[in-house]
Amino acid sequence: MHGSEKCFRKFVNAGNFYKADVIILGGDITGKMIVPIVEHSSNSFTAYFLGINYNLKTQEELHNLEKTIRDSGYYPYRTTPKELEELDANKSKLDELFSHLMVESVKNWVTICEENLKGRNVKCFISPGNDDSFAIDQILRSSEIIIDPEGSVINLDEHHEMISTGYSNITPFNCPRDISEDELNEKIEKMASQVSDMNNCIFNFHCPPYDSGLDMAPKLDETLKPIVKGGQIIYAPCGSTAISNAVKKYQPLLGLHGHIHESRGTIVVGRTRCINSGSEYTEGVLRGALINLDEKSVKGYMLTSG
Amino acid sequence: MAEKRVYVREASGLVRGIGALDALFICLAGIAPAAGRFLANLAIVSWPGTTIWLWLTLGAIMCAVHGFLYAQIGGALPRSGGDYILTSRTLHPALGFMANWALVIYMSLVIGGMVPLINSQGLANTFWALGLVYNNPALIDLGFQFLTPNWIFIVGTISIVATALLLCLPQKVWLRVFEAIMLLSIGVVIVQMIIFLTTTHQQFVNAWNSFPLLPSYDTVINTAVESGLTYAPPAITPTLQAALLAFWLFFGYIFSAFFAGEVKEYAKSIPVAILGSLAVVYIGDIVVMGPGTAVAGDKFIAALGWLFFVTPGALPVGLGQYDFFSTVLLPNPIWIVIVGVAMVTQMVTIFMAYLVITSRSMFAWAFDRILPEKVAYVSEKWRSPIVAVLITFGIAEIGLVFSTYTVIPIYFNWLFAFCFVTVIASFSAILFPFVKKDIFEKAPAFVKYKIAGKVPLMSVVGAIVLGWFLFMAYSIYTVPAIAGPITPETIVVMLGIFALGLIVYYISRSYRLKKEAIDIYLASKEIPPA
Repeated sequence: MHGSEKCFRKFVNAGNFYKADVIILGGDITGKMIVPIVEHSSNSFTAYFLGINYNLKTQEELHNLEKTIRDSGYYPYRTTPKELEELDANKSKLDELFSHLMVESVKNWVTICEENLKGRNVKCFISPGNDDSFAIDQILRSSEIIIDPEGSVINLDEHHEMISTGYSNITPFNCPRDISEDELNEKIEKMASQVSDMNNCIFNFHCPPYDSGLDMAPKLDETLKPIVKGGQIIYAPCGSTAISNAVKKYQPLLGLHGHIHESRGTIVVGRTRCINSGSEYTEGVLRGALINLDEKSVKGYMLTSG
Repeated sequence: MAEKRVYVREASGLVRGIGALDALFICLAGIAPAAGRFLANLAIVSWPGTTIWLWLTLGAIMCAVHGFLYAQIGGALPRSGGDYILTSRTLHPALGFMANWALVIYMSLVIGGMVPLINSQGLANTFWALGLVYNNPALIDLGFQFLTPNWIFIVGTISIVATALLLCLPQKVWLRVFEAIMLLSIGVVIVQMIIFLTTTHQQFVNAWNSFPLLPSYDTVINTAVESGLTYAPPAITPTLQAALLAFWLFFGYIFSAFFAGEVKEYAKSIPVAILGSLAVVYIGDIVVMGPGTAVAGDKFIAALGWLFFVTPGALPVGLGQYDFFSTVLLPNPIWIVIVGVAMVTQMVTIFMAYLVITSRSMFAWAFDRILPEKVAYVSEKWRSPIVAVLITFGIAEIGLVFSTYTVIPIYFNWLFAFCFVTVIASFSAILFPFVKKDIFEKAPAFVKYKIAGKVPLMSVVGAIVLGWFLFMAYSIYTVPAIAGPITPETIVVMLGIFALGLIVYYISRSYRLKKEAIDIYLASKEIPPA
């Protein structure tokens, strides 16, 4: 959900809404942009967001814009013209600011989770994805309600185990948790070796299997712009071969994936149903998948736009 | 004044979007311009006095408003695309499915119904023109053969099967074909424009009269008048009455709503793409049809159209007359074949564009579990939506059989049904700013703009489009010349198809609840935030 607070709040309420026992958020939870809101000597604020210049005179206007920015997955930051100059001139200062805002945001989200899920019979799993800084890991793990399943074998219930990783294969963006296919394979093998019943296991792997149809993203040129030919956007597979091999080798019950926003869908690899719910976070739409498991099989599923 | 500044995190998967020009090209791909020019003949014959340039202008304006609404829909829900999700989220999932179901059924049938255009505008015109150049009656007779039911069926089936097979191949293969067709079409338009701009009326008359196998220019007009043609000089009133037909000339620009998520600064690019593609096609038609009409003479064009509809087979001239005129003025076999190929292949682009809508709709239905997931099956080898292609073109073949050998098409009126599909979508658009306030307020400026700070522009545009399409439905109902007669059976069939959509939805819902304990009603229902 890439920092969208609205989507996160929907996620927290999803268990209640869908009458689900378990809610799983498989990564890419932090935002990608800071939107400066600049304070001027006249006690007014200015900001530029989604193509609109804002001139804010009241606290209410300020709070509303900050909420809108957060709901869209970005970080509002009140600043001054002087500080903006410093941020422009100092990359490490900007990186520190990003880290600070991400951490504060995740802390806030942990609080939201605990306030709303405490006492409820809903298990909440949140793991960082390849796009997420390592700075948030400790915050997630410090929560009493949230379980970070990264790297572990988790018992969802008495019938189903789950192994999870938010790492992905190398992307053009040099993300914090991009690793080689060999390293990813190693992580998966380490977890898989600890699973007692692979037939009933869930692979909660952020990255989808390579060339599965769940990993089709716009092909990019060297400037990271999608390539258009003949009036059509060109797509190419960009999932993980390590994950693809693992799904084919182990044939778990279910594969849960994300990572590629455009490739919402579901396929069956052998006996394994793999799902990518896609993403529509900037509009505040929570894309997900509602899955009903019985003891030995996937009884039903449905992609959702909540 | 705010600094235009945001800070983007490095090492994030933020992708630059495609620009407005690429987006415009995508929209252009959905409008096969020359294929609809026969509507000009229909307009002139049915409403004598129709002024072509004004008729085109009115059609473009109407489409611009309609297109702007779809730009807003795409801007509001860029990843969802189209009006299926809009209606599902705003009104009710059953209504969204019902309207989309009807759209897919009719669109698929009409692919088959459009096949005769390949024969008349493409093949027949080509062989007639070759027959005139070589003074060969056998070639002219062959042209007429293509207008017979069996040949329409044969050519239609080959076209449908060929397009289906093409679209089952990898994207890079059919993209090359698509690019070639687009370049060919643009090249033909440019050459035609040059031909018409460098020819006088008298030169056209002389060229026409130089073919012994054609009746003379004056004979054509006299024959039409004697058989009942009512000619009127260009006037505004008949042009206004005929304007509804012009809308269908430009239909296809709304495909942008499906790829809005990949467009950079879609707030600016999407409207530019939609309105830009309309402008390009409009200009292309104006520069061909305007000079073409001046060169041939509007009375002559009216006469040809009249004779085609009233006494088919009397003249070796079909619809798509501007293409034929260009071959009269440039009677070169290579040029004639090029024009013919361009005409035939443009129909392929229409089929492909329709398939974009039908296949994405079927995918959405499968993901929403209304239909079996096999409907969304994608070939592992070629990544092509084989089942959706087969379903669409299977229905198209049924449409071809209906339109070739039966009178059943009278009961399946695509234009009439599309009016009501659009009424539902525009009603959703009117309500969207109020019912889905949060999503609306996050939308780009051109979507969430409010007139006088109070009235959502989207609601106003939705109301205009709703009113206009209701008017179009009424006009189609009362004026058979627009889209064919609307009989009680036509209305019953249409209501039946819509109703069948509702039945399918509720049967699916009941099945999923019982077998899988999954309620498909929740597929697009908004979760209240904690």
